[in-house]
Amino acid sequence: MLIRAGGALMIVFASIFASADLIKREKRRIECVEGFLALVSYIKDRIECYSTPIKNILADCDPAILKKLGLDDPVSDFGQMISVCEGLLSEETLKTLREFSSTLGKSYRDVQIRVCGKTIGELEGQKNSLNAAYPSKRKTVIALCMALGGMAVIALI
Amino acid sequence: MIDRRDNGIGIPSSLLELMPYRISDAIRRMTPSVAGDRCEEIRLRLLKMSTLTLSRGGTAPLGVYLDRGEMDMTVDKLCGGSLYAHGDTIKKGYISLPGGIRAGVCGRAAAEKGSIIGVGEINSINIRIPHAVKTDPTPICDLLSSMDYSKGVLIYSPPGEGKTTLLRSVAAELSKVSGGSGMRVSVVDTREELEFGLSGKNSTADILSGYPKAAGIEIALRTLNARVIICDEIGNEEEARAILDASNGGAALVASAHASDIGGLMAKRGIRMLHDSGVFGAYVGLRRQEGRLKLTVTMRDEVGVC
Repeated sequence: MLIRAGGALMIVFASIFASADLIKREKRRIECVEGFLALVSYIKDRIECYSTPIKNILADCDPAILKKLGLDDPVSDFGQMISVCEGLLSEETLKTLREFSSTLGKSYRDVQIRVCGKTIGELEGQKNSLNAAYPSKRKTVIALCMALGGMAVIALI
Repeated sequence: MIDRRDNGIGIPSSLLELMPYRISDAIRRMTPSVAGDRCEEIRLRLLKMSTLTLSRGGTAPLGVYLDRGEMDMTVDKLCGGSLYAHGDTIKKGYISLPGGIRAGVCGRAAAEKGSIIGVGEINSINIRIPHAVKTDPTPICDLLSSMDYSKGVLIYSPPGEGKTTLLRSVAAELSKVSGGSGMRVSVVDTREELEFGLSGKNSTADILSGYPKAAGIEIALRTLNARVIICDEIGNEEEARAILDASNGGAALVASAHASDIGGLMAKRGIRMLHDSGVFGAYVGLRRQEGRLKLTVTMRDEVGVC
């Protein structure tokens, strides 16, 4: 009986941790999109004001933006930044960022600023969708984990 | 920074890394056969023969015909993956690279009201590699001193004779702290070619990188209080007029212009305008002979007016 009770307790804890982890991951997904949004806005500003080469822009990137993207140190390639966050981003966001990455530095200033603006607009939309969906996703995750945990405990006891 | 270690004929190794593989490979294979010579230009052409221009006057074909992809990739590399950062200079026909290297470019231009608004489909790239010509800035410095820095000096020669190198030497000499005058020198480096060699701690020259000449001269006078202003390649009448407006401030202007002789120089309306206004007190012609520069000085009063 004691072993069963211990097992049940472990299942309850596992359910709590699993739901916490899934909620944290959902938050990270939003944070990641916010990070890229801040990054593209920063790139746009630096191009618009100073025409700074992309290598220098990325090298001088604000540590707060890097932290949101899960990076400790600046990287010299935008594509590398996408790779780091690939698992956290939706297909739609990945498509937006890959398109941006493929055109970054390939056009003149006016066009580049327009591309940045378009990307910012798309990322804003995706961030808003994620934020809007977050409360219901959170509730679903908690309910699902608790229900599964409860079912496992009942079955065990 | 450009890696100055070269491949034996004066091409920095970091420049070779920017070239398409077929070009860098052809240069490596060619190097032993032209050993002892110096490469002055690498000329890349779309679907035409790419060549090297050598210091002894020869043109060495590389046997490579670049395709569109290779040309675009080279432009991308020369721009450091940031075409937008070089848009203004590409419209003027060049890309500035570190180390005083300049790549002249041409392609398909889009123009509006006579001005180029964009250049695409680059089909020729001419990379000029600065060469170390022995230059003695003393005659120019002495000329300026003899005129009490109230008048400027215009250096003229055909392209490739070493005007930019001489201007750099003059800037370095005048702004030198130890063993020099440490004078207030401003270098208006529109094409970002002059600053190379002036970044040392012994130079006090203020460098205005990428500034248009007139705007740079105005800033040098008004805010940097320059005694001597140095700028490269004065061109058209419009530019000369802007320089004239900006430079009536008491500093001596040391500049350069393309011309093979003093007659050709004075035939340029912009230069003539500056001459008539007394901006320059002396004109110095350059000729490169056996790796050294030969200077011909003509004082303003000696210039025949026709």
